[in-house]
Amino acid sequence: MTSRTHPKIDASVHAFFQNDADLRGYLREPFRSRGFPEVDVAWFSRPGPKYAAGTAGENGAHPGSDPELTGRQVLDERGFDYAVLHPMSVAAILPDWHVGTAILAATNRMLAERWLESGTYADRFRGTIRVNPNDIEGAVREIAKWRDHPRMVQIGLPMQTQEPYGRPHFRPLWRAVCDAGLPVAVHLEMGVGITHPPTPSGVPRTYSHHAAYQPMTYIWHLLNMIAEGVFQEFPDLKVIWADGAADMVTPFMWRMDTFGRPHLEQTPWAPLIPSDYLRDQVYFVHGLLDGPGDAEYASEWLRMTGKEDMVLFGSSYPDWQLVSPADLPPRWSDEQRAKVLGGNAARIFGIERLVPA
Amino acid sequence: MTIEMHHESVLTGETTQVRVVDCDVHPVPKRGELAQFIPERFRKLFELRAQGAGSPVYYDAPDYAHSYAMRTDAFPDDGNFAGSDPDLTFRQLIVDAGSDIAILGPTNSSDGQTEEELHALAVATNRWQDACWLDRVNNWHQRFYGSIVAAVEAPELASREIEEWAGHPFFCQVLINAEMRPAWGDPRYDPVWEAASRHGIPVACHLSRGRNNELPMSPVGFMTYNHDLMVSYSMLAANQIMSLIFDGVFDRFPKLNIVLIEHAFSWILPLMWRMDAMYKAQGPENGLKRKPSEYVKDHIWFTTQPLDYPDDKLELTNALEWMEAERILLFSSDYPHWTFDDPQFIAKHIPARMREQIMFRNAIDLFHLPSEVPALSGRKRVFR
Repeated sequence: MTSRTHPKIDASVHAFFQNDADLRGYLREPFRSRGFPEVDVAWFSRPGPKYAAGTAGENGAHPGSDPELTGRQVLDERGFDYAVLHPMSVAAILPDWHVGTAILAATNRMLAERWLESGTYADRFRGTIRVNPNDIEGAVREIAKWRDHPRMVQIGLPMQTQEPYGRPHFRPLWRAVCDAGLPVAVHLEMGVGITHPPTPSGVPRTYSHHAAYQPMTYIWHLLNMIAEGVFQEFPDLKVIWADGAADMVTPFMWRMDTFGRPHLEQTPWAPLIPSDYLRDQVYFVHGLLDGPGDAEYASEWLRMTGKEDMVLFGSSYPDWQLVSPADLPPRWSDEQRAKVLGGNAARIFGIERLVPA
Repeated sequence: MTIEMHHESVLTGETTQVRVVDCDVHPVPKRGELAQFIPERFRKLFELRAQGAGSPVYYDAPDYAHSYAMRTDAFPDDGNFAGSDPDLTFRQLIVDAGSDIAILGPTNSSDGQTEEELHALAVATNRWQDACWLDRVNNWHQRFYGSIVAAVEAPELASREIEEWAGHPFFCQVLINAEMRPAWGDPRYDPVWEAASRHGIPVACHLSRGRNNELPMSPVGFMTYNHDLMVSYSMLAANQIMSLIFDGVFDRFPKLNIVLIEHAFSWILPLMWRMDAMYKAQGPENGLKRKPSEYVKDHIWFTTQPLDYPDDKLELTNALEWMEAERILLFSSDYPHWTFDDPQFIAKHIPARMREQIMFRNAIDLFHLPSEVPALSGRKRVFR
């Protein structure tokens, strides 16, 4: 890798167990015998294929469960240098947090053994330490266990929570994250479990509505974290909202700044104008539904609110909403394109973590 | 600035062109004024509940204990609440700020504990507007228009209430709450859309407060402050829009217009992209006939207050152009709330090309308002 060009990085590729039995093989009792949903059981299922064509493994193995197939399709065929693997699970929305923590520990072990330490592509895969926000002490322990693994580059949290991430009981988690020097990636958990309805007005009636709306859930976390002073208290904290919808950050920051000025006296622990907390702390994975498409003004739009330095290309492989570099707005400048396709990711994850000396 | 209140001497028979329509003005009943209009069955009950009750606020606007989230100069001398005096409202809004027409949106009718109570409050609020604001004495200047408050929580009763008042010369919109579940695409609300469509009356919605976890509630739990709650309020409106469109309400009611008051609006630009991208990827679920953004531009309206702006004003100008703001925006001030936007301030932020549409033309067309009103002396011209 020369210093002139960034590596091309797919910042969001989903790894799965082959099937339920495969996961249970990584669990010990009393968790191995417990009942919990599989990832493809959803409150709202797509009326159609859930995964991109040709992504299923041999013998019916779950899409995204075969490191060789994923490596071939994500890295070789698309010409990417690195892929950040973000395992999908149901664990973080289970009512029994012991089971959730156990499944995530199993997931981390599977990811390390099967993807990061063996196989053709191990040196080009980077991993996510999945932790359970319903078990803060367990999450802190799990971070300590994996933080020095040379190929673990981020910590994974669920988008769906009981309370927004600004609430004070999450602080030990942010402290551990910052101590580890890793960014946090927040992604919608799959499966079903204990979640609030996905919209303020309850449950949608169509999949289109549900799937277009739910990625915007990050807005509440972000507003709450800013107002609660999380980014003030943890200036090293970097959060990657991994389901897309970066476009919404522009209007919501205008709103939070404009409406916020008179409110700042209520929150002296977050004294800056809200949008000042975005730089170097807030990032997004680009999603299939994002961006103004082929609009003339796409480049100007990406510049606004500094989004050109916040957005990371992520394919969401093997999800049906698979994004390819060809889907990115054609009017972006070459420089913006290079940032999104790798420059921003290299900066966040640290090039030294990606390219060991 | 003062104005003579001898009505006959002021209305000369001359008229003046409507140049500013304010689509978000909040009248409040004077102490005890509403009781006479509340259906007998509920009057005593509401009175008992109100006994000894103090401030209900738990997400507080800045300086709440001092100003109650109001413009401090909007409290009348008689000790009643801001927005309770039609003459003071007329003076501050029509004379001083220069609006030609004020559309009244009372928000005092969302406190019922059951659907029947919400309906009773809606009935009372409509009778009160008719008698105390839109009558010949208080609306001598013919600058006030009111809202048919309808309890969308009880769709059949709401539909009857719309029938009751449709045709009233000074009611120009239906006003409903936004917080109840499910979202508006659910067919249970069809009687409301049907009645409004039949009479060509837009249905407006002002942000309010639901109860318990219908505040609106976020999908990740309660917000902490008025700041994050109120900013995220736009996500409720975004969801109602997606529900209306993806659930086919505008296909069922092609004449329906929805007005989202005080929900902010700049988020509609990226929301249209998201909906269109999903439509392209997923196809027309529920037999949707057009691209989602086309329904937005033909059926949905936003009021300008709160106008959220970036450091670089050019970004706002661009966003207004990109969203075709002249097709979706209506001027509003939010009088007498602390977040009041003066019409002069808003007019100056709107590109000249779309200024007249947003300041008055869209509202005149949408609400079937007169384009001329009786002339008054001593008023300022808001923009050229």
